[in-house]
Amino acid sequence: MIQPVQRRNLGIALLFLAPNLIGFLLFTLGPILISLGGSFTSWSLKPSVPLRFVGLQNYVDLLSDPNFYFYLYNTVYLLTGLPISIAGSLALAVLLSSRLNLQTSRAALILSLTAALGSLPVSGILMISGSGSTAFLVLALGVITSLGLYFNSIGYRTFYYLPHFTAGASTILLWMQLYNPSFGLINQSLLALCEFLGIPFSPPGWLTSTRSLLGFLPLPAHFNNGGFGVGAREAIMIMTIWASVGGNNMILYLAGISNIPPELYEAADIDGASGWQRFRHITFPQLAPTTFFIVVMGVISGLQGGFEQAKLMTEGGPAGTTTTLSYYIYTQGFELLDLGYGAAVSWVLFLLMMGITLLNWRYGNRHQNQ
Amino acid sequence: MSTTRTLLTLFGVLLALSVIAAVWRPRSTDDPRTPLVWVSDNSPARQAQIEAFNRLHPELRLRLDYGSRGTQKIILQCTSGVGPDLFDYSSEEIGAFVEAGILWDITEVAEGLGLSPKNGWPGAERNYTHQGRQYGYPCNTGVPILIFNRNLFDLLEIDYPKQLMTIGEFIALAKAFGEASQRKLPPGGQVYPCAGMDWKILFSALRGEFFDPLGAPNLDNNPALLQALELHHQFLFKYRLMPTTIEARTMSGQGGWGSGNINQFAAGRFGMFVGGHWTLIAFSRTYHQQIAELQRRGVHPEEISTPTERPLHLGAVLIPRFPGRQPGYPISSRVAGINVRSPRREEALAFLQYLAGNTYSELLNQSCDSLPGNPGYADAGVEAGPPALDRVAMQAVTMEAMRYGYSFRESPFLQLADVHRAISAQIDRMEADPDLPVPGLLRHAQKELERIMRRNLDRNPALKARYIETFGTSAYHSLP
Repeated sequence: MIQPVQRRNLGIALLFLAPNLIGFLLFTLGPILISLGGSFTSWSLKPSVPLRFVGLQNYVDLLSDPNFYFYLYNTVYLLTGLPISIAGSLALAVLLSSRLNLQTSRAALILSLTAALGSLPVSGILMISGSGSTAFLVLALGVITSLGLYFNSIGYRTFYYLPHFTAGASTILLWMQLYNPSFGLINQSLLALCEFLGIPFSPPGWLTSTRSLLGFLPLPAHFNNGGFGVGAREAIMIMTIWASVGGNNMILYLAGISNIPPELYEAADIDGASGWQRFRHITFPQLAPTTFFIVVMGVISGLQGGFEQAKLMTEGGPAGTTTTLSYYIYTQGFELLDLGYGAAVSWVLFLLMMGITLLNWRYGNRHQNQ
Repeated sequence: MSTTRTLLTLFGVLLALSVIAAVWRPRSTDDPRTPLVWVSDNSPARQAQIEAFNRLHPELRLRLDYGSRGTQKIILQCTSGVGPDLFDYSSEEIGAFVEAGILWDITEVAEGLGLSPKNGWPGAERNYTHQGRQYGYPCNTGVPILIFNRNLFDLLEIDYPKQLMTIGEFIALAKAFGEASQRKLPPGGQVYPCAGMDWKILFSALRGEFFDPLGAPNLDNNPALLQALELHHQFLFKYRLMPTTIEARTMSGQGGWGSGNINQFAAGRFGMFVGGHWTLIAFSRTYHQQIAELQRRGVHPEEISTPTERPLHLGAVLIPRFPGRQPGYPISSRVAGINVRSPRREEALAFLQYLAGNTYSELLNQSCDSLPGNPGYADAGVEAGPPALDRVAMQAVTMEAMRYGYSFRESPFLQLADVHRAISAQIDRMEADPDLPVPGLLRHAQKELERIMRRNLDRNPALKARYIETFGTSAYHSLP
């Protein structure tokens, strides 16, 4: 029996929850249910196509659609960058959790000024000698080192987190310039390095190439196998790793590291443990819950990913090699106007994500508890 | 209790503010003119075109919205009732817009306003009609021509292209150009003989069709398409007449897929270039920059002895033809259509009339933006410009090419955009692996189209019935 006071409190609670609840029902739960229902219909933006129940037809079509498997392969292939990204975040967090020991703030200021002023003449000389991009790099490194020395680890944490709160579209445009096969900084640097070392080198086509590191596999013909090499998929993978290494994962690891009881390290020091042993036997096991969370979230966002890159960088090309399932959903729904089919793809993607997440929980949790 | 009161007060304030915001709408402007929104590109010429329209129609206020371009954006905006009054589309997009039900069918109205296709360029009507119904009027119309860089031909001592070559003559000329470039230009400075002579142009030169007369896609049993793709392959890998997509990207400093060819041609990296005469807008800019630079250095163009150091010097001829066949060129248009859900669609008709009139056509010709939709004004306002750019000759070549222009046959079962997407994916595969046989690529493209068509039929019972009636049940069941 609910007391009048409890009823009143419930009413007030519901009143406060209402804005969020209404928003959730209208803009999240509602569309989810509509898309589920829509996946069993001939839902289309074409007025000539009548809306009718088609049962599992969209799902049957999907399973016999060779493009679906190719784009699923692309999605999973791009996901293979996740371990590198997680390892990078962990390494970065370990580095950034320790402070540079500069004794006094005066020493920090002197070192900081030395780094900044030292980079100026070097970049000036490089600029005059015509190496504009290298000059810019040296100057940027000088400024970053200088600020890092002055603000210590907080400065570096900010730098590494910078890509995360920069708009995706602007970083994508930046990477497109970097990947330019002829004028991009990456190929220019690789060519200069190889020329210096006397190694004959043909730079990768990056976003224009269908090659892949798994190109040697005997994949089906419609997988557009361009052979072994570095291609558009690797280009996108590298960019994604760059953006995610210093992102939220690093912050989560930093929070995790700060929660490790210092007694554990003190005991290890007394036992004479090396830096690697401290990491191997204390830091890494203590961060297992964080790693588990990051892996689960990383897999979920990885399976949903690739849309921005495909839309802005490659339009899913060349030959569909950068089309992921999320971009495929978009093209089916909004280019071919077949919303029912697009909804079916999105629900299959959802089931896939849920299956992998359950596996993660089932097996990952066990390791975490151990 | 005081916390609850504070929160309730806050809630009340927010609610009151929401009510005020809902009631207190922005006051309408005092401008009595009817507003019209046109989604088009942000070419500098648009502003003058809009100003002229607004002067001719003081009761209307046309404005440009270039931020809403894009098929998906327009479809979503129009279907949700917030679309523009007018928007531009290409021949590849018309099917999608008609199927989305957002284009106003003006067939009957157009007849009375003198906008019907019979008053337009012959062969161009498929750019703005679909299944026999009219959905707009062209902002411009054009066909590709072969533009060449006289400076490069002079430098390599090669004869200029003839007015109408055969494809064999073109290959011989391009090969001679390529060999001379290898011989006479320093390593790394060689130029490609041509850009843009791709499978689409070759397929059009063969007057090919993607669909049979009944509307079924025919890619894998299509001699014209096979020949076009094989020639495309040879141009890339056997004769090295033009760069692959990757090579073009390597040469280009900016832009997306296939872009940058105009800039590269202007920079003297190609001897010949397939493009519309609207490319003169870009070439003219380059030419004037070069002249300004020479003036700054105090050099007169005629004093320069090395041809490649001279400012741009262009010529134009028709795209080569295949022996024994009538020439064929794909006509393309930028068409303005009216949003069927626009409350001002009747007023928007005035803009289509404007497009067919003298004022707009003169402005269009002055800005070199292809030919007007109305052939009666094809020459109106054409300015000769610098002789080095050969503007008048280029206009004449384009008009000559229009005589042989045609638009691809359409199908009720598939869109042309689907066909182009399917073949382009196979071209990507060809460029990635030149050893792939062309017939196999076409089989893949055909299968992909049949798969899309099967889905289209399964979604639309009326379309399926039409297909079965036309081709029979077994044909339907044989679709993948």
